[in-house]
Amino acid sequence: MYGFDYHAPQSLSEATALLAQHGAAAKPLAGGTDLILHLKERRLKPRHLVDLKRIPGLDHLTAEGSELRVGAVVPLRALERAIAGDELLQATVGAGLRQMKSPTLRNRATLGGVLANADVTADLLPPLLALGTTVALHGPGGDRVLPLDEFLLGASRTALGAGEILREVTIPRVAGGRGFFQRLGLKRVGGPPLVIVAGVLVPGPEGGVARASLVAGAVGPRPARLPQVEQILLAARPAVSGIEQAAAAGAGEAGAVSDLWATKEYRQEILEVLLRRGLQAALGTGGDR
Amino acid sequence: MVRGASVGQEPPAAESAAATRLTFVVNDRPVSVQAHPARPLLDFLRDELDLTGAKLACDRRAECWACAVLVDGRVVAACVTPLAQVAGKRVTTIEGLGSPDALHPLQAAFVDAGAVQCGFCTPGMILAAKALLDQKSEPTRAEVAHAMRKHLCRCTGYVKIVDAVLLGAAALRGEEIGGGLAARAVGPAPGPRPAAVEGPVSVTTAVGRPVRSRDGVLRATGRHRFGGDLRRAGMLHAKILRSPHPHAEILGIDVSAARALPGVFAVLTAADIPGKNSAGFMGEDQPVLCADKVRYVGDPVAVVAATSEAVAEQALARIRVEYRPLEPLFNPFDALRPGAPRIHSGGNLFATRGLVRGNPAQGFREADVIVEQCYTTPYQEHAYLEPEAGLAYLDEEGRLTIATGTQNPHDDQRVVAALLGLPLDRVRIVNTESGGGFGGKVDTSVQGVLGLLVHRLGRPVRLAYTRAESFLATTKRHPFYLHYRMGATADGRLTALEAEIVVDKGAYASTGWSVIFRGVIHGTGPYEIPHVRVHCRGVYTNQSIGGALMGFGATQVAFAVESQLDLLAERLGLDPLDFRLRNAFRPGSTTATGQRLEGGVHIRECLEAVRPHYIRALVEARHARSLASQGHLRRGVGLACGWFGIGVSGFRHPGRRADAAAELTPEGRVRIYTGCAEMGQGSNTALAQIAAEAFGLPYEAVELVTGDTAQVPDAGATVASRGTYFSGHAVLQACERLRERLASRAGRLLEEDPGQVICEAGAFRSRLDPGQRVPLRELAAICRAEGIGLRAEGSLTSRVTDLDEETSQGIPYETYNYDTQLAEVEVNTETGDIRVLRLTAAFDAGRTIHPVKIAGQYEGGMTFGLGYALREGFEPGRTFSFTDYRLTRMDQMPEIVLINLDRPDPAGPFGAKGVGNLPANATAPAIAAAVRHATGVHLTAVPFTPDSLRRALVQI
Repeated sequence: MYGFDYHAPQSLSEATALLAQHGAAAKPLAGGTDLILHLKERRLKPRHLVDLKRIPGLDHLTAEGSELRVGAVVPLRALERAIAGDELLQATVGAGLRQMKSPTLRNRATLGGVLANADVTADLLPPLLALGTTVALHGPGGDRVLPLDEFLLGASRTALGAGEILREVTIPRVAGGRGFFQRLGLKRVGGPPLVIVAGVLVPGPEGGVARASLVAGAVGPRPARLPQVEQILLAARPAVSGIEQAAAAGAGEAGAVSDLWATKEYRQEILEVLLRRGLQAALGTGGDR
Repeated sequence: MVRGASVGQEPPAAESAAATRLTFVVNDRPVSVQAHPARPLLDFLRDELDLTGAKLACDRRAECWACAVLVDGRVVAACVTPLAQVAGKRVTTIEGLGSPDALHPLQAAFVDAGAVQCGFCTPGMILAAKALLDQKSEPTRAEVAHAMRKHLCRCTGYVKIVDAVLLGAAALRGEEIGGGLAARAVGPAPGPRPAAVEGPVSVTTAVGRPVRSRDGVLRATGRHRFGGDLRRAGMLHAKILRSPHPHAEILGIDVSAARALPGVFAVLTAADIPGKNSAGFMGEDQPVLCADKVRYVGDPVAVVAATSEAVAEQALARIRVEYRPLEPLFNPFDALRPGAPRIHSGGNLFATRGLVRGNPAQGFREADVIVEQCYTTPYQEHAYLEPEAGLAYLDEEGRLTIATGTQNPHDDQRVVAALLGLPLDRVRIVNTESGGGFGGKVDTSVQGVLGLLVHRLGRPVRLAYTRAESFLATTKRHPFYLHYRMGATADGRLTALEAEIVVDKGAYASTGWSVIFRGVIHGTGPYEIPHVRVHCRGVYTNQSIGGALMGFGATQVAFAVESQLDLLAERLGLDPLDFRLRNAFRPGSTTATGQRLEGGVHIRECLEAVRPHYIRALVEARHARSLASQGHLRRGVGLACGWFGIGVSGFRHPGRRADAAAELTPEGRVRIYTGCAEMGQGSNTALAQIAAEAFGLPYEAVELVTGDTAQVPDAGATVASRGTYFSGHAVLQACERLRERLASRAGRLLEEDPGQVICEAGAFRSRLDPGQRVPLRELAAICRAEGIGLRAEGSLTSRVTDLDEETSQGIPYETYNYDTQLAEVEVNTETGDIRVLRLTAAFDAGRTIHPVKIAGQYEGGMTFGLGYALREGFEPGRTFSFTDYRLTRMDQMPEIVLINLDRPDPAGPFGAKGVGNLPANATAPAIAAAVRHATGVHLTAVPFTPDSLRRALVQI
């Protein structure tokens, strides 16, 4: 029989001490929607589970001013409610959240868990990256804040050090921004995504855009910013005139890979299609289908 | 901190420290239990309450929903629901909904609408339907499909399930259903009425009627016990250790540490086999446990019996096997390479077969157009919802008994007896009737090791494969590599066909010889071609074992030959339907094996029956194309034909013969004994209908004894669409013999010529004077007193001939069935996604025995073909779950339109032929043709994934 010890620390320092003490033998537990499956199938065999849900100060959600501050153990369902009135967040984060079809899962899974998991196919990563999200970490050496882009290192790999805990996620509100989320998945219930692309665009003078942030997910080992696409859009006047060129450029720079579900070439072609659809929708040419 | 928390398949037993008191209600009965809160509800229901209607079929991943139950009226997957979550709630299982004597209206609707085939998914489906109807009393088809989309079914193609939910909904709303549910389920008779049939009676009492199947009632109420549902006191649990290497020599096996583990009763290897170490019923190259070599990942090496599955698994981990890895061969071309390592001592070439007729060189000279192309087809997994499972024990006579779902009880018996060195009568197979077979349960799986363990231990042993194990270690559809060259004249006459076929045999023979035989024979399609040369090689590889799967070789070649016909039609500027019609078999045609086809050849009628639908579809597709708004969505229409020879291929196989017996019971009922294996296809119902018809009795007056080798005669394997034809003939002959004998005695009683005595309403009577009658019950008593036998035997030995391996000339099958399928698709050229909008089929499977069941067989088979065409690519070593292997789900189904020609074949029992293997063959080529019509892409590799279609679109 495989077993483990369950810990429910009451403070951040207690939690970091436990994680530091047990090292690789310990795993932090939040919603557990992913971790428990790993345990069941014996892909992970930690000797210690450190439950973060009882720690005060990790479950706050404040939506004031220019940003959204979300505690690490806030369930996705609460985030969904908090962004209900925000058009940009709806078009990006909200659209990603809706891919998780089961309300039970959204009630259970936490934002911190999704990020710390660093699953390359996670629907939320591209929109959060496109928005410029940052994460606050707490560890034995104190606190630090990282852009999400630097926090995610690769497939299931993050910048979390020994004993470090993801404490808070800050999602900026981009004034006047327009966003999109596009995804193609396998056609079945809960099918994994083959390609995700999310973007945030801020309209500028002469029909152009003043800011462009585009991220592709599920195509390679980690979600990828698409700087060439962004440059093309920033230079285009009006921005819609750059859509075709931008979409074509995106295919090449996402680091697409082949796997059981799709070839690299297919991912690149679909990325182009989804970029075109998303940009058309965000820039108001009615191309959303 | 809580010490000793745990997760996984085997939470601690009730007495452990973490157990808590949980109270809830199951089927209106209060339950209070000391249990671990994380224990899955499914285990508790099955193991503690013996409610086995909910099934475990996806390794607790909530992927199939065969375990669905209701908790406070909502559907949950019991396999992933911890007991703690139902505390204080009401659980309803299928056993709580209705009983065989008092069916819930939904259960009755499922049975009558033909929604129950193997019945493994049925309890979950019915409960999901109940939950839906409690919320919404009048759902649409789309709403039903959406609500139940997570529930997998492999038999039905879902059409009849949606029918049943709507029928049940109407019944629950209290609507009057004229003629009862059954009449509503059948609806108006499709197609032309059957012509009068020559036979013992002119008006049917049972054949052709939608009788209510008794099996269906047991399955819809969760009362049917499958192999994995059986329990016995003191039973042990078995687990198999499998090879992690595709190709390796076994240098040594050390089981001492495993044997020393408390709770382990036996750890057996090949060295413990007393008889012949062979698992196959057709080939002898596959060991039950590998002795010196493993040949694919999953090859069995040792088996453990222990007090629980968990202990057995721990024991597996303690077995030390020393392997010396050998170079693995992952495709047949590598395996044929000179100097390639030998997978079997005889080399890597498993078998060859040729078919030669006329002079192909001359045929190609006569051709105005020649097309040449390579095609490939993939592995396909059966994915029956019931993973292999069985319980073995010594019966009351001390006889080794194995209860499991099988398509082949008598061959199982021979394999196990030889394995153990026992006489045949010391081994008994009890067929529990499979939760889906499709060819995958014709080979042995659990039988061999279960026999070995019980023979050694004398105690009951249970073995249930996991889903991953079922994917890994059972047979698949063989991958084919086909090179086709065909020629035709300018006026559309086929002149020549040449095909070179290479079959990936995988590691062992299984039924490969038959699949190759059938593939070669069916390689011409149902067309007259004067000059033919087909050559096929089956080659061993270190991959999954190719075996029998619906279509059986005919599926793979149909994709190639039908695609070639489309290419030819295009080059010739001919309509694909007219081109096929010009060449299709007609009565009097001669096949490429030299067989003259007499009666029952209706492929031309199939084509003509589809024509109006074809024209309508073309008009609609053209209209859709003319709409500017379509953009990247393109409509297309395509068609293809299929055919299938009834019965096992080849002359030497015991499947040439089927036996049955009929008996008059003291109650005046007719009891049939048959080894024909029910697996959801409806053979029990069909054979009872044939018996009833032969006697002139109602269906209800016939009893059936099936599947127990201690009681029933050998019917041969139930494969190759031979059940209705072979066992139907055997049953018919047994009934006629018994009836003649009884009529003779009744004639003397009634002082009437036996020829003028008929059986009607439970009595023999004079044809001329209805008042003169003797009830069957009295007749039984009289015969018994006079020593007149009340039992008669019947059999059919087919008149096929031996076909030589070079030219295959002769009669390979007694008769064939035929179909034409029409696919309408919408292709998204941006994503490569193919949406099949509608499938229309006209089929000739002889005369219909049961109109609902034959349609259900056909729809289910087409859905196999649909999945094969679009998404089912099994990759050895990468496919272990329903996440990796994507079955078609309810909300992905196209509309299906069926035209059952219902024409009697003079060769069949009451004119019936059989249908099971026919429908999966034409679907993929019809869809390929439709995609070609829509996009211009000629698809050459199954499956047509979005990815592969995009690749092809980029290249044109």
